Amino acid sequence: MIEMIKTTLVSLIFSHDLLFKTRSTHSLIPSIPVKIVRLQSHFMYRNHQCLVFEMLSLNLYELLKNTQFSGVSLNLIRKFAKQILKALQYLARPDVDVIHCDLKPENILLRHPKRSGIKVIDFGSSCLSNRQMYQYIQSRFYRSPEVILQLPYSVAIDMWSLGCILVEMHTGEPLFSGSDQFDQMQKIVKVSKVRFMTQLS
Amino acid sequence: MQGLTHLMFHQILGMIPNDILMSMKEEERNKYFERGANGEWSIKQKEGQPIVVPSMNPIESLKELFRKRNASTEASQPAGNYDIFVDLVYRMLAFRPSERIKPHQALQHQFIVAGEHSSSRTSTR
Repeated sequence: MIEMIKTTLVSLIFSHDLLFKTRSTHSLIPSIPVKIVRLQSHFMYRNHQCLVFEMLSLNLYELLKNTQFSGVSLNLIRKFAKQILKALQYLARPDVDVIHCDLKPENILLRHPKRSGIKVIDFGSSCLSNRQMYQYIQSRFYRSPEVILQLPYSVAIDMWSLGCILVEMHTGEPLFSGSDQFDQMQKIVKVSKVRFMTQLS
Repeated sequence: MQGLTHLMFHQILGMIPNDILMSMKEEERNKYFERGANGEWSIKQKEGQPIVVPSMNPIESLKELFRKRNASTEASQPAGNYDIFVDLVYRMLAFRPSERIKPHQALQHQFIVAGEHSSSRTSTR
């Protein structure tokens, strides 16, 4: 069962499992979120902090690759979306208040190769929303405008990433595949939201 | 007709709302945007690259992506499904973080809820 071992110096601080222990009072232990990867143990090895997670299957990028990048059905996307939203709903809770900061297909894993159950992994870039560490966060394709433009950010940046992911899962191609930050912003502007346009359509 | 296109072009270049632009550090703003003689902001163009014209209708642009996809695969979805899917994605991609859909709202969105009772029916189709 225990398979995936990740070495890191800092991410333990933000691993959700530890957040549980530090943020929850003894009397009030929040129910463990089903859609977030479970940390099973951790230990030190030659000055490296090692984290042991539950064993999971393919990530959503690999799943897309298996379709020759033709994308998956809307029904399957609905099932994924619902589970990821539940994870985000949990992270947005006032008593949790964590921003994932790196939501992308590679960080969403199937629990079983033939089933639709998923888990969100890799909290190595995450932060508490009131203790932001970095300005350069999120993988470029899934980076929100407020992060690109160096504006204050919140848990809402993960929702932006999810919007990009859902489209990609259906079309097989990243929605905004910018080659650098500037190109990313241009690509976003080409497709993105204009308020008054809603009235026109 | 040309006048209309011209008008749309300018309006759409202002699509990153001014209040967002104004809240940016000047140095950051100048990396991406420039101010025209008329005082309106637009996204900078890359030299030697095709001119970026912001989408006239983002919802249509998103739907177009799916049309292309479906032209190359056999699986066509009922049109209504696309409308509600695009509606959800569009709300997730709101420029202003405060206007972006929240997880609990998204969980109640028609696209998510619609599948709950119909999953067995759709899988046998």
